[in-house]
Amino acid sequence: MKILCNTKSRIAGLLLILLTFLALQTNSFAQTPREDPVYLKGETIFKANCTSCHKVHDKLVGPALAGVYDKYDSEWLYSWIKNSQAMVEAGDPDAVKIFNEYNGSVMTAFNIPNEEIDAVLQYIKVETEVPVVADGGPIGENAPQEGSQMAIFLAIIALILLAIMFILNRVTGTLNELVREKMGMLVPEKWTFGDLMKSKKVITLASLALIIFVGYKTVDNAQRLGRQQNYQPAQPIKFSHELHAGINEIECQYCHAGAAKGKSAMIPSANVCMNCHKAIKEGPKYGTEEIAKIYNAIGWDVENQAYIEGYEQKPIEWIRIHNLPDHVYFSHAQHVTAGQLECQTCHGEVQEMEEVYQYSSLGMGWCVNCHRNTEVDFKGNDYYQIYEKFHEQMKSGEMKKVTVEDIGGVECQKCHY
Amino acid sequence: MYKRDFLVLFFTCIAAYFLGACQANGDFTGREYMPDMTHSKAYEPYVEGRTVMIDGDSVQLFPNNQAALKPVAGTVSRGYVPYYFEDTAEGYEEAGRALVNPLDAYDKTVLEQGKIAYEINCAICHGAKGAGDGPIVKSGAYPAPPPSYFREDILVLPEGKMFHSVHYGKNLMGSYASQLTKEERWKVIAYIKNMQAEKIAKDYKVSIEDAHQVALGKKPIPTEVTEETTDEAATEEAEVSTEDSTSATGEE
Repeated sequence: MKILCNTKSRIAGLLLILLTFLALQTNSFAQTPREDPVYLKGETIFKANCTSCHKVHDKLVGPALAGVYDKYDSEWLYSWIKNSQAMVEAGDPDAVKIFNEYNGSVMTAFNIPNEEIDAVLQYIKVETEVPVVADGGPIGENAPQEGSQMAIFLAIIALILLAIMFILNRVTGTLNELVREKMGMLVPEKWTFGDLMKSKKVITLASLALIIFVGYKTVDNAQRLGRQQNYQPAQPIKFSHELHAGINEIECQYCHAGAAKGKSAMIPSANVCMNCHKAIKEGPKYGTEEIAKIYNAIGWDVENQAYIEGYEQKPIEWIRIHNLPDHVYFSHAQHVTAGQLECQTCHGEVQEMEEVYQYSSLGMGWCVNCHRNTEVDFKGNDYYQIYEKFHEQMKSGEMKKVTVEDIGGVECQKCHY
Repeated sequence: MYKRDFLVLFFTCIAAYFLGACQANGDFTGREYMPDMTHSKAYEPYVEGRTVMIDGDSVQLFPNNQAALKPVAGTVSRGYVPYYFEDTAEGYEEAGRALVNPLDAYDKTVLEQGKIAYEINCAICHGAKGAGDGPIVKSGAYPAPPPSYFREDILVLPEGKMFHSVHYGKNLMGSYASQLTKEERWKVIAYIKNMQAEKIAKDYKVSIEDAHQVALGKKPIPTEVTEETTDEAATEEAEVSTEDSTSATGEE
């Protein structure tokens, strides 16, 4: 088994090296159209000016550009790019047709020389006709497999070593005993498991430990009753905060726009999702399946890149995770805007959570502890200007720090009224 | 006797220990004691509507049992000022001519708050420095990168057109009217114009005031390096147009 595994991975490794070598060779000999300076120039211009509305293979705001160089002659394209609106007004049939097909959205006029337009067309031509070779594909696929094989191999070795250690230990133990017996030395009396269980000392100790442990858990569990720490419901869309807030670095408040302004942080409505998902139609993990649920809720026609008229929109029924009891008042704005707290202080590292769960207990002890320990940042925060006495005492050095408690953060009626 | 007490205590502890099973985990919300004190009678944001009994029939008070409703047709919220320009190419041009930022573009707080709003709402695509290279563009997740703010035509884009684009969305950019109030939008625009003016001042070696005028389209892009300072006539003109447009822009 061991040897088999080894030779297999070796062969695979050799093959891999050979393949990459071959791939590199073919690459270095043929001059690809993607290295052509005209193509590169076109790429730069395309990315700076066109990408916000056009893609080569897909429809966005404007049409897909693949094959556009064959469809129209270059003179027509020059004048369209330089001033499409003038052509529409002049009644050019092709121009009017496109203008109407795209619901009268006007293409920005680009005043650029013809040779730059040619470069862009060359870029589009190459992108249309020469398929992109995914380089490093096979390597990427094989690498993790190799890693896991290695791990299994190491685990087997470790297990075998452990077994050997155990056997050797037993052997030396028995040999020792034999030697002692032969030499007439005293062999220590052996304790059996039964004896151990009957010993008074052991029983007392064990029951004491049990009572302490169970007592602690009892109080702890009773306190947690009615709180929902670790609540992690399955949401209607498998939305990953890790992907959105972590990998793609979208600010929390981009979607939860209410956090700085009001009591509720707000669940974004589907139009906020559409800010990005008009263009991003496929996710890395679930493909189009989950994103299609947004389109379904808001009524977006992916084919035509437009909202369906007269569509009856349905809200996405997200499941609320954080609930405070009715008798507690809480405002996000107070904590986010006035207190300048990070979201993560209470919600945990949401940007690392694939599925969000309730990180904090939201119990009163938890609130009060934080209010006692948190220092209020007086500097440059106009909200706290009214605490003149504290400002003076801070200046004179009489007070080293002002906590939330000092400004009334643990008074009952601050949260319960 | 002593032994029995001990046993009772012990078994109570064991029973209480199993309170652990009442705790939230995964899809289970956990158990509550006194749920009446937990769940509000008044509607909290995002809760379901309740059914009430009217003449022996149970009636849902809200359509689809959803407590969050849209404003009644024909009503507006307090302080609401309508936006007069239509979502058409003509509306875009008109807004560009008529709208002027009602806020002081040199005010430090305006710029600071504009920066915060910009970083939350815009930087994700447009980039922290406005070069059109936000995190989702850089990572390749977003296939349609926006142009840089420093492209020649955008460098001098009228503020009104920017406001119009934020209000309705432009090309692939969605409308931000639901996330940013009118005042916040103007703050963001002031911040962007300030970035552009700084770039103009640096590139063409003009004073920052002049650069602002250039960025607002009130002066042409300087062709050569000059050391001229603010032109009085231009400032006066700017003031007049601000007064003209306050009626149209309004304040939240």
